[in-house]
Amino acid sequence: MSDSAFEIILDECLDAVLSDARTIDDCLALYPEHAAELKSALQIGLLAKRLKQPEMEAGSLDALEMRLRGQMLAARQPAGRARLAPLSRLAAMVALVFLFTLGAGGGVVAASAHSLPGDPLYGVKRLWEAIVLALASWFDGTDDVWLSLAETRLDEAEDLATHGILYRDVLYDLYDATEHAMTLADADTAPRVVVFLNQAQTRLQDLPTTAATDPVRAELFTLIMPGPDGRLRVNSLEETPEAQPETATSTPTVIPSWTPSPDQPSTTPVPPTRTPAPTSSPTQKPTSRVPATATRTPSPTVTPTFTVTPSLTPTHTWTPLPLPVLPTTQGGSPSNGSRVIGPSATPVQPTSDATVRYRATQAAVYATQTAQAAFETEEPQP
Amino acid sequence: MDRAEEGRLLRQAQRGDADAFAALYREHVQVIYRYIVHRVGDHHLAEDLTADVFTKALQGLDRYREQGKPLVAWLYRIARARVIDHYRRTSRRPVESDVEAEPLPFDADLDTPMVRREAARVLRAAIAELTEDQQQVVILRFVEGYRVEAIASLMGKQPNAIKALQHRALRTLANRLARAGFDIESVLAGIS
Repeated sequence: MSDSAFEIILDECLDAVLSDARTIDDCLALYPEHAAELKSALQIGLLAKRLKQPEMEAGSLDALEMRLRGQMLAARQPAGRARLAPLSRLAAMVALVFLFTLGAGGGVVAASAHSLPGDPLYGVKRLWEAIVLALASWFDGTDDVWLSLAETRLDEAEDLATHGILYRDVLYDLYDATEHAMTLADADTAPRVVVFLNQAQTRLQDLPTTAATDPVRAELFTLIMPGPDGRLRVNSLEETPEAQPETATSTPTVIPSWTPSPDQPSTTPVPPTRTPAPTSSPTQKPTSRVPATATRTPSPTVTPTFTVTPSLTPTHTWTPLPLPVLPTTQGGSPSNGSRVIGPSATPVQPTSDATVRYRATQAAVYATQTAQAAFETEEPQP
Repeated sequence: MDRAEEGRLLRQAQRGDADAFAALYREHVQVIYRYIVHRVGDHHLAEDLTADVFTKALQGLDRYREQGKPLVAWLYRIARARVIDHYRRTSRRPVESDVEAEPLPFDADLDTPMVRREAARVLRAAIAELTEDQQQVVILRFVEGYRVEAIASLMGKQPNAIKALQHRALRTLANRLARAGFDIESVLAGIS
């Protein structure tokens, strides 16, 4: 007998046995020539039928329904956004100003500011973000907005995780905003992106995840951790002084002092061989966001390990931010034994590429922020 | 819920009625959850993927056309795609060693709950190793209790194709349990 004939017999017997119309033995008696194969197939069918039927818990059912209702409300928002698309940007701006003049729009947007995914007003919040993003693109300021959005998404993820309802789309949104912030960062934004990534590493580590959200968190870690070359993939970080072109040949103007921290090998630092001209680096321009201070201690909990002696500043002591947990790099020694950081040259101990580059970036940020004060208050050293 | 009622709720949901969509969700969420949990074997993951299914359904609601099939057929298709997508993302599927890692303790009393639980565990793991189509047939046929014709409609296949899938699936499962040392008759006797 062909397989298809047996399949018909099997199905007939399964219908009868599963509905308790016949027993397995009844079927075997009807088709003794197929008894052996019928028996095991029918037994497995019965066993599978008696597997425990899992049910989704009532709390999860309600939470999902609430989230879907919120998404349904939010889903109406893209339609409104689509209608806005053909309008000129100017018209959109005028409409926005008008809305705020009336006060209603501002009230709704303000009310939505602390909403979370699934909340009725969350769609308003996202719409408002899209408007801000569109407006920012006029002024070439989307990098700032994306960084702010990444911070917001991280806050939301933490809040949802606290309530046990973190789901993957939230982390994907965080990934998206973070990636945009990293990709679009300019020289001004890059240091703040680095600080955000540093915080995000710690906060994501503490984020309670499930089997579903954990892979997305792993992808996020891949994004925000330094790559195999030890570099954070933040745009414009290459413009920090450590990546200055290697054409400068001027005599070093400072001999930076180096105090090895306990976790670093006591390698004798190699004096820098070049010092970029103070005006040649875009990061030497003091930023307007951070007031220049003579001494800055980014974190009160860490021990100073560097003493930077810039050529234009007698002594600035700074403390590196706590290092993130960085992957162990092979080799452990940078390709260049000496590095130039900021307006002055500071050798970085070759602990690992990732560590060196991270601290070098911090040093660059520090040097940028204090450069203005140095110019105004100190006499340049010969 | 009959097809007419489902159609009415569907049209209301497509017009933006959240209550109608919630009613459809309540009607189908458990079968979709059961399907997924049998496929992935993890309750938390199944909840997340179930949420994904209904989110996708919500997003595609405007484009959905009935075409003579029940809504649950569409939901099953989304669920199946989400499960496949999940395994593609994580590059992980249950491996054979999971099924055969713990052979039946031959000296154990076959009527003990422990043995039945173990048999159920091995059976679930073996189901998870079947092909996508075979898994879906087994779940719809034996877990949800559909008949072959209904499964054919849900899966968009011919009934004969479903019977063939059912046959191959049962044969594979029987072999797996036999290799793991289970006497199915004894296990069944213990739970009758």
